[in-house]
Amino acid sequence: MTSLCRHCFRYLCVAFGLAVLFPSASGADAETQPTEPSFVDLQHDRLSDWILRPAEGINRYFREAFTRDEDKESRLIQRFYGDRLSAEEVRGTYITISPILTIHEKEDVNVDVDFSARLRLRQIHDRLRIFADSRDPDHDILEGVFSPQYRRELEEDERDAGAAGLIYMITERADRSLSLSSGLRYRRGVSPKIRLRGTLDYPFAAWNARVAQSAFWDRQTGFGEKTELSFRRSFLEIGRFGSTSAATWSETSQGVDWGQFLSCSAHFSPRKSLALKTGIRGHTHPSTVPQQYAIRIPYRQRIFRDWLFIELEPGADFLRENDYRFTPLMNITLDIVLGSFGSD
Amino acid sequence: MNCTVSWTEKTVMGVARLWFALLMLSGGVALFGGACRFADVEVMPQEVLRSFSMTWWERPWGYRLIGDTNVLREAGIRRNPDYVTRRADVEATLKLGGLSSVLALYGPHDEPRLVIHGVYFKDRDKFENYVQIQRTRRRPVRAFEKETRDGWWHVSFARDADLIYKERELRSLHRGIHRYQRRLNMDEIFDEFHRGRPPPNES
Repeated sequence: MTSLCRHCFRYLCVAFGLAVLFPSASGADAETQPTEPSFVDLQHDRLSDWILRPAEGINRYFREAFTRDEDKESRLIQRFYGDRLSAEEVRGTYITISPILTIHEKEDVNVDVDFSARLRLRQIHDRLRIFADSRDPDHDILEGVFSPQYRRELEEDERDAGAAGLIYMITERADRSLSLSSGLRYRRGVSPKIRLRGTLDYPFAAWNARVAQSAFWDRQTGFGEKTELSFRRSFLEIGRFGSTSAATWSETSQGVDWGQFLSCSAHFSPRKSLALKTGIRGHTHPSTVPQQYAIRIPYRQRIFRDWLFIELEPGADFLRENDYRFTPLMNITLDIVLGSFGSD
Repeated sequence: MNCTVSWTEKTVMGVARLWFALLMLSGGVALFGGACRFADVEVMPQEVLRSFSMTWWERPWGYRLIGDTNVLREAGIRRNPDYVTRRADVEATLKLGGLSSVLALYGPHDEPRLVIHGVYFKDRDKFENYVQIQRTRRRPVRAFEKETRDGWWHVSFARDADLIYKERELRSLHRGIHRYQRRLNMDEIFDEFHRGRPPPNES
């Protein structure tokens, strides 16, 4: 137990040392970041171009295919300023790459790389977009709490998989949305998937309640549905409290997979935030039993411009397979955003 | 005699009364007409175009306003400088959040080598969105903002990315832009002029 505490203490020291030193070294604490493009900016621009230029090309192709010459923007303006409409049309086209390093008591180091990509096709339809995600959120009932053990469990049951396809937003309003997506799940083979998801927001007093309901089908795991209910409120200007309950039933789940997590966060500035998250998850078959308790203290810091973030997340799991023993861990996540992510 | 005087007096008084009545009537008509007439306002004021034009002191050496109608037609304007009124260009400006735009073309021998494009915004968010788009274009553009009573002008200077500009020409361009900026008291947003083709090695 003494060595365990020493391990935890060491992880915590390393984490907070990184959090303090890394941003200071990169100048992220300065209120005004340098306006002159640096070498890093140029490399980021180049990588973003790989995503944005093909997206612009697709949009431009569709725009020009159905537009007469006299209805096209002046070629001279385009020659000097580039195709401004294409740039507007691909706003919201981006890819987020998130390498996650988990230092774990039993397994030393675990590395995952998540990604999430969106391609806007406004010229075809404003509500249509292409997506590609490394994770399928429908079976994950603790979406806000990263746990490598839980992820492995989902992968073993073939419930976790990447997915890519098309999303059509049937309704997209501030208080409700309804979307239909169809595509392919890929991991250990490819299988088609269809999903219908709706959300409904209801503000009352200082709270905001949200109900989200998804129904999905894919060839590997069959039919399923996921219900989420969350409550959020802000307090003391910088604080936010949230509670999320989720339940998933599918042909491969153990009865109903259920989960609940609470989070309390403080946003000190647009660059820094600290949170406390606690969660529990379990299933109802063969008996209703909690599988995991989790606690996380994520500290998130913007490192560079508005596209590079680091999250240091010390925490602990209490897993049923370990007789609910205290199992410390540390997640270190980098979020790198490429493309145009100003608005979606 | 008395009769003659009396007749003259009557005539004078009558003419005076008639004159007064006509005066009142014309005043009334003028007032009524003025109230009914639409206010005489210019939607596209010429003063804006005059302000946007470079003065001889600001123009780069050898540059002048381009007058070739083919070039102007290609740019979607009828005069130089002018408000952009071609439907497709107006639609593009509106889609990008702007309300109105002006264009001025400069260059030697009717060959456009410098474009001044001003886009007017009433909404700050849309203005900033436009700035963001301009940045992502990574074109050789210098952009400025000019705050007015009701909104913001995004004024940008662009050079042709495919043409080669000599070192001396670039210096003259920068000097002219600097003088223009001072005259209109504009704030610089970004300077990407370096993105064009580099000047030839003159050594």
